[in-house]
Amino acid sequence: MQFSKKWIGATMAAVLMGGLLAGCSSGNENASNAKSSESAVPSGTAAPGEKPEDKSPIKITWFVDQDYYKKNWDPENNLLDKMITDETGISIDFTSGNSDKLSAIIASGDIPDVITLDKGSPQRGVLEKSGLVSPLDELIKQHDPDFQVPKSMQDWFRNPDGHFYGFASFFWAKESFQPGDRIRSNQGLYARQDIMDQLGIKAEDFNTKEGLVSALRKVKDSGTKYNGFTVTPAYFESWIIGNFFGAPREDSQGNLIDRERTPEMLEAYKFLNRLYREGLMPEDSQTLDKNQIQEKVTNGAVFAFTNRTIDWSALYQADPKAVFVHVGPVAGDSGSKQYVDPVSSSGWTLSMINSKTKYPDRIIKLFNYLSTEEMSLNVNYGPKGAAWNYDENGKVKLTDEFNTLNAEDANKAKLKYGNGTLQWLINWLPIQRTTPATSTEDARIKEESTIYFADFTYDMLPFESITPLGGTEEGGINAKIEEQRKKQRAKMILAKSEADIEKFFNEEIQREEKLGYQKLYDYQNKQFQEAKKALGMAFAWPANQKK
Amino acid sequence: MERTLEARHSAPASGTEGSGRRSRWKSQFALQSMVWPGLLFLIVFSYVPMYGILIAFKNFDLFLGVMDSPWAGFSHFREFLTDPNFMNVLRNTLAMNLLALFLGFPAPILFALLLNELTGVRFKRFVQTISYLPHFVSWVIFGGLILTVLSPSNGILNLLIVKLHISDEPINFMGNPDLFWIIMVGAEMLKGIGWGAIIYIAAISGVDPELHEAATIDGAGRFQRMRYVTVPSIMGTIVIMLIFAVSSILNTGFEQIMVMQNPLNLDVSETIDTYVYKVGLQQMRYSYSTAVGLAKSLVALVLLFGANYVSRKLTNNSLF
Repeated sequence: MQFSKKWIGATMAAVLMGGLLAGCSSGNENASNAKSSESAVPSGTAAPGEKPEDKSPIKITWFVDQDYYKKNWDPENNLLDKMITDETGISIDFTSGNSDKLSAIIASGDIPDVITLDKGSPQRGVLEKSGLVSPLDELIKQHDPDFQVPKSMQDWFRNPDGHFYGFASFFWAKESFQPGDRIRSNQGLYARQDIMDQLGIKAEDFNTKEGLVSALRKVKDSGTKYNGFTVTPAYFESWIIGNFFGAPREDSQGNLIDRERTPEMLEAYKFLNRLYREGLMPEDSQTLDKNQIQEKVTNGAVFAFTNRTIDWSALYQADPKAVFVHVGPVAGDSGSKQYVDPVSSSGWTLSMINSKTKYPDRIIKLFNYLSTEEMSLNVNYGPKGAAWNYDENGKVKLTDEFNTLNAEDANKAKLKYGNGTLQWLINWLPIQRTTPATSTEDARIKEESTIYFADFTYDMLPFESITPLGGTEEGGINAKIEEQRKKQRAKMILAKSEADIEKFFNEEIQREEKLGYQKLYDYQNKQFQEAKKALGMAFAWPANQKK
Repeated sequence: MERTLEARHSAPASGTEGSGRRSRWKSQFALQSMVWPGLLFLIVFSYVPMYGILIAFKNFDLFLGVMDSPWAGFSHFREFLTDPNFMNVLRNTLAMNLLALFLGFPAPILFALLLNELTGVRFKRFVQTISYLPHFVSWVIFGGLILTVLSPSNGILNLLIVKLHISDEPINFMGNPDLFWIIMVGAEMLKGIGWGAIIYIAAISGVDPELHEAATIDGAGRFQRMRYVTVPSIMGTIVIMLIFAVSSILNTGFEQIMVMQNPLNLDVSETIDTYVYKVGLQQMRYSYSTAVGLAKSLVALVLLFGANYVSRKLTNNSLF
C-alpha cells in the first residue's frame, strides 16, 4: 500500500512536470519546423548569369511586423497569388508578428528573405547597420538596372552610409506627380448642407471668424432638432483651427517652429474658447473620443466638424439630404493663408531584402514587379481582368463577379481575388488617378471635399522625421509634453475668461521647459535640418519658399 | 514565529540528524513530489526572470541584451523622482488608494455579514450571483457602461436629474475633477464587492454554530451576534486581507483608470501606473519603466512588512 501511494504521487508529479514543460517544447517544435521548411526550398535554381526572365519556381520567406497580417500563399484558388506565381515563378511564405518578434528574429541573426517593418520602428536602424539586409541601390545596379525607384524615396530613406535599404509602401513621390495628382488631408471644415439651406447659411460665411460664429449662432438660436436630437453647432479640433489661422512651422532663418507655441495657436484657443462660452461648442468636445462624436454625427446631432475621418455615410443612407459639404475654411486675424496637414507622405512600411538570401536577383525583380503602377492596382483590387477593367475614361471599373462576391462575403472575395492582401510595395498614386467613377451622391461630395482641401496642403515630408524614436530620452520628453498639452488644451478651450487662456498658455510653456523641452526641440530642429538637406531644399514652409 | 524558533532549536537535540532528515524525506516522498513542481514553477517563472531587474540600472538596448547594455546607474530613478509631475501622480495614486482602503475595503465585509444574515437561501444565492457578475466583465466594458450612464448628453442619470429638476443643467460627471476619485472608488466597489465578499463568506461559514447558539441563549440579538461572534471569528481573515491591501497601495488598477481618463480630469486621474505606461512603455523605454516598477515594489515590500508588524503587535494576527 505504501509503495503504491508513493507511485501515485510520483506519477502525479510527472504529469504536472510534463504539463509545465509542454509550453516550452511546442515552441521548439515550431522553430524546428520553420527551419526544415526553409531548408526544403529547392536550391540552385537561380544560378547567377541566367536570363532575367527566369521563372523557375522558388519559394521565399517574408516577415511582416504587423500582428494582424495573415496571408497563406494559395496560387490555386487565389487569383492574385496565381498571377504573381505565374509571372515570376515565386511563391511567398508569409509570417507576421509584433515588433518583439521582429527583435527576436534580428537577434537570432537568421532573418527571412524579405522583412517588412514600420518605417519608424527602431529595428530599422539596427537592420541597416547590421549588414543583415542588402542596400537596394546595389541590388538594383547589379540585377535589375531598369528598376526605377523615385528619387525622393531614395533620398528620404538614405542611410548616412549613402545607401538606401528599404522600399516604402504608400509613399507619395512628388516628382512622379502628374497634373491633377494631389495628396489628401484628413483635416478640413465640414457642415450639414440641409441645415445650412434651412437657416440660409452659405459656405462662404465660414471664411471669417465672425461669419463662422454667426452661422453657428443661427444653428443654436433656432434650436434646430434632428430626429429628436438637439443639433450641436460644432465639434472643432484646436490644431486644425490653428492650421487654418496659418500657424507656421519654419521661421525666416529656416529653423523649426513648434506650432503649439505660435500666436496663431493662441488665437485658435481664444476662438474656440469663445465658441465654448457662447454655447456653440459643448464641454464634451474635450472628453468625447472620435467614435463617440461619430455616433452623434450618425444620429444627425452635429452641424459642423473638422475631422475628415468622421464618416457620415450612415446618416446619408438614412436621409439623402443630410450631407456634409466642405465650407470655409475660416481665416485668422493675420489673414495669412489657411493650411491643412496632408496625410503622411513618407509612407508606411519599408520592405528590406536579406543580404544572405539565395535569390537576391529574383527578389529585387519581384520588388520591381510589385511596385509597378498596374500591380499597385492589382494588389488593391485583385487581378485585372478578373476583378476590374479600365472603363472608357481610363478609370477602374470593378467586375460584376467581384462586386457580387464582395457584397455577399467580403472575406470570400479577399480569398479569391486577393484584393488588399499584399500592399507592402504599393504606390497609391495610380489608384487615386483611376478611382472608380462614383455613382453615389455621398461619395461624390466626399471626393469634391478631398479635392477642395488638397489645395490647402503643403509638402510635409521635411517635417515627418521630427518625431523622436522610441526608447530614447527625447521620446520620453515628447510623451510627457504631449500629456501635459492634452490637459492644458482642454483647460484653455474651457477657460472662464480670455485672460485665463493667456495665463494657461504661458504656464504651459514654463512647465514644458521643466520637462526638458529644449532638449526635445534641439533634437527636432536637427532632424528637420537634416531632412531638408537630404531633400535638397533650403526652406520647407511655403511662405518661406516664395521669398 | 516563536514556534519556528522552537523547531530550529529542537532540531539538533533529536540527534540522528542526517539520516533523520533523509528518512523524513523518504517518508514524505509522495507529498514532496507534489511540492517540487510548484517550487520549480516558481523558480523558473518568478525567480529566474528577476535578473531582468538589472535593466533598471542600465540603458537597455533590445539588441545588445540585458548583460551588454551600458550601465546607467540611478539615472532612471532620478528622472522619475525629479519629474515635475511626480508629486501629482503620487498624490493621485495615494489618494485613490486610501479612499479605496477606507471605503472599498470594509464594503465586502459588510456585504458578507449582511448576506450571511439572510434567511431565504434562494434570495441569498440570487443576490450573491448578481453581485459576482460585474467581476467577470472587463473594465473596458464596465468603464464604458459607467461612462454611458454618467454621460451629460444622453446618460440615464443626467436624464433623471434634469427631468426631476434636481438640477437644470446636466452634470458632466467625468469632466469634473472633483468627482473623479469618488466615481473611481465607487465603480471599483460596484464591480468588486461580490467577488471580494467570497472569501469572507467562506470564513463566516467556518464559524462554529455553537457560538451563535450560546450567544442566542445569552440573549444576544442579531446585531450583537454579528458584532461579538461573527466579526471576531473572521478577524484573522480580515487582517490578512488588510495587509495585502496595504502592500498594494501604490498599485491602482490600470485599465479602469485608462478607460475613465480624459483631458479634463487628467490632473486628478494620472497615477503612477498610467503615467509610466505613457512615458515609459509606450515609448519603448523599458529601463525607465523597470526602474519605476522596482521602486514601487520596494515601497510595497516595506509597507507589507510594516503592516504585518503593526498587526502582529496590535491583534496578534499576522501573515508571517
